Amino acid sequence: MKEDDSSAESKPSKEEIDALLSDIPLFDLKSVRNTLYKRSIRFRFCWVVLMLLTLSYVMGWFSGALLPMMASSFTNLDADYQLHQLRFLIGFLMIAGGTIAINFDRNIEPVFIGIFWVQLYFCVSGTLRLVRSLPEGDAFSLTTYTVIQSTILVLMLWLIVEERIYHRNLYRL
Amino acid sequence: MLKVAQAICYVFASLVIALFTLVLRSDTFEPLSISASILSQDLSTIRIWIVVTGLSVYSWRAASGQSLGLTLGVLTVVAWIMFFEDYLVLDRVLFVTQHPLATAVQVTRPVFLLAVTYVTFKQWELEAA
Repeated sequence: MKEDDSSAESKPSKEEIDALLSDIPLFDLKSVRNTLYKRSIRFRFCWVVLMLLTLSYVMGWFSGALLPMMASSFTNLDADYQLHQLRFLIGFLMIAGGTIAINFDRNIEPVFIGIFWVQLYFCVSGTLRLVRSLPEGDAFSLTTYTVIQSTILVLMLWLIVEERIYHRNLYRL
Repeated sequence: MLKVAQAICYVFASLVIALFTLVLRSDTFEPLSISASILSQDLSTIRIWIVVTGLSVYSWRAASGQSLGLTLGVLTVVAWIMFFEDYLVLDRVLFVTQHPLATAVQVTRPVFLLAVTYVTFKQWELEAA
């Protein structure tokens, strides 16, 4: 009976728990900003350009500007269109994953390495698909697609390198 | 348990390499159209390379005692993405389950995905300890 009383006394009240939890930022933009400001200017540049590319991709998709450049426009195959939709969704999940890693400032390098390899798979299979399905002489779509994908890959690689440099400098200190 | 899961991964990888080699070499697999046939061949080629490269990198790193957590993590994510692509999008285009090897791959695939995910988490746990 005595033990019960002591455990009841040591138990924090609901108000106390709420007050403690309110200090833990689960997902607010301030944390992403804080993490970005700890990194180099090159890291921030890569992240901002990646976000701008994502934004322009969404705008291109919803305005229909991307449609003539997609493999499904040349093959008229439903699977190509659905594959693009699925990869579009996976792309956003990867961006969400990367943002969460930056927000918590944890495992940024492994998360971005994972995203890089998935992106490489999308890039290689997508380029091969365009090469095989494009009509002869239409190099514009292929060039545009390859340049965008390569830019994303280079930016991802740069982010990973910058993160590695940041941690190496942190350990030196 | 870990050894069993690893064995399942190796067996599945062997089955996939055998099946994809068959898809590329044989004319018994008949997709719905020429375009679908090209899509099937291209994805098969890329996936053969992913499986062979993944298996080689994993075996090499395991043999040389290097960290496996990240490699396994990447391979698991790619395996799940390919699974979603196949079952949500490409199912009607590609296979063709008449061949026993294709049936074997389709039947063992969920087990493989569970096994590779288990191996990855176990590896992270071991490396963190």
